[in-house]
Amino acid sequence: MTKSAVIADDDETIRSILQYKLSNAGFDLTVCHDGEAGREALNDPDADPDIVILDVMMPRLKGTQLLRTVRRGELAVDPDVPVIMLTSRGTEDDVLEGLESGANEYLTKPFSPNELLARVERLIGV
Amino acid sequence: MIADPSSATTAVAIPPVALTAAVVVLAASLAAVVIVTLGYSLRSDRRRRRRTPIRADLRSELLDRLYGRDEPAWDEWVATLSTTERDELESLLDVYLRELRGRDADSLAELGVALGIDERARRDIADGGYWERIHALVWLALLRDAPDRSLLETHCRETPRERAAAARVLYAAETTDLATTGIDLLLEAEPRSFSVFGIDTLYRVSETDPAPLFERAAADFETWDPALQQQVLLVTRHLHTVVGGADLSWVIGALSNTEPRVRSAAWRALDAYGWNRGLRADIGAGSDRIADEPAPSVRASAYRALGAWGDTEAVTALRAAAEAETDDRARVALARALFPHWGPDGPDPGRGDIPAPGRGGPDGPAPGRENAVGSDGDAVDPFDAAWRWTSEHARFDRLARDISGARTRGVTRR
Repeated sequence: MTKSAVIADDDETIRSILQYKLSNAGFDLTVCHDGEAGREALNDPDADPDIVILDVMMPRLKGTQLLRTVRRGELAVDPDVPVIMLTSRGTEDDVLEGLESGANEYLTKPFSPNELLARVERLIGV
Repeated sequence: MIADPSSATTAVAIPPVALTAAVVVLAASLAAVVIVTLGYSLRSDRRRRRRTPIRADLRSELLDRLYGRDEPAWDEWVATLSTTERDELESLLDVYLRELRGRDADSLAELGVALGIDERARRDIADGGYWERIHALVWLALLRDAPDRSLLETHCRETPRERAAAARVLYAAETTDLATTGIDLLLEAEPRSFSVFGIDTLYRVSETDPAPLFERAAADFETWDPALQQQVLLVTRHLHTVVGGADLSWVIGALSNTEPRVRSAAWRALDAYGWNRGLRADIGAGSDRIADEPAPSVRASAYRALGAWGDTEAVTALRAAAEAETDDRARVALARALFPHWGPDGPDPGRGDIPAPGRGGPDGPAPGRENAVGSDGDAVDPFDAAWRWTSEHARFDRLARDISGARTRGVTRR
């Protein structure tokens, strides 16, 4: 069965790395350039991703705000969908805020795509 | 009073020829600026258009070699590239190295070596000007390639920016001498205050092992300018690694510094040392030190430090200060420092010796101020107002962060 992922990051470099890595791993991808586009993708009635990867600092809507919206069940997507925060904000407070917002994992940039993929596969039980 | 006719302003006639010449010169200057700007824009646009497809092809090839093959063969690839392509590939490498770590970053660093960036960077540090050195240090940090220490110590201490960039190379390369050599690079030989990047570097270097920073500060703190003193105290405040036997007399000395900003930073630097009874005895936080402090901002920092310590002694000192504090902002800081220990659920059961607030809960009056509010609601004690504001702020903060409320209230998915 094909796995699917939603990626929301305003950084083209990060998007290109994630697209390449996750596509090679067999994921169907919905790629969003900012938080609001991510919100729309996750509010699509057909949205049923296996994993969501969010940047924290994005134009129009922050990743943590988007994540809280998901966890509150305000969007069409399953509120319990696994979410990984991928961000350059790596202080203890930032990590705690990300986890308190409902993130399953919190990775800081610079990051290892191999580590990210391992965490994705662990979260979705591959 | 009669005005002196001789002081009246007289009109000066400008010759028409001079006026015309001025207008012509001005118009010509404007036209030249417009032409030069347009020229640069067009050239830049043409360059961007020419490079965009090159960059896209290089990016695709880069990712394919990085992820799609067992062996990227960077040397062979670089040998086939034109000068323009190599230049663009360096730009791409710069971007990707900032985002990646682990095996992928190591592999990309080999691409940097294939492009000859490491050797060029060493040459630029030794022989280049200021910007060449900075640029070279950035590349070495990205490549995680620490050069010989004497190269850094000889050529990279002229400015705070160079000091920070040099220390950053050691940090990126995770060298074993990071803490000692890093602190030497940053703080030895008449250092000056840093930019935000420099403060961040000082923090990262010190976080690996704070001992060299503390030793340097104990020896030289008094000789630094107040801005640098404040920055070192700021870094100390945020360090997670607490050194048990460290000499922190310089921090206590800074509590008596002539600059309020240094005194304020010194209080906050002590946030993590509430467990150190000897240090606290030296500080004398429960005595008149805070009450005698003339600057409200410093008193506010002292309250925050006491709040961070959070034990019975500190909370008692805060309550005593609440009686005497006269500044509105300091009162709010005091209320916020006290709040985690009193609200919203009352005092910690483990601290049974502290009496609970009169009405309890986040909307009740401040501890010890139960009678301060008049029955008509007009006579609100100043500290009670600060307490209520803090309570309300905390309540809204909890609401904004809550991720379970809507679901438990039965909000349905659309």
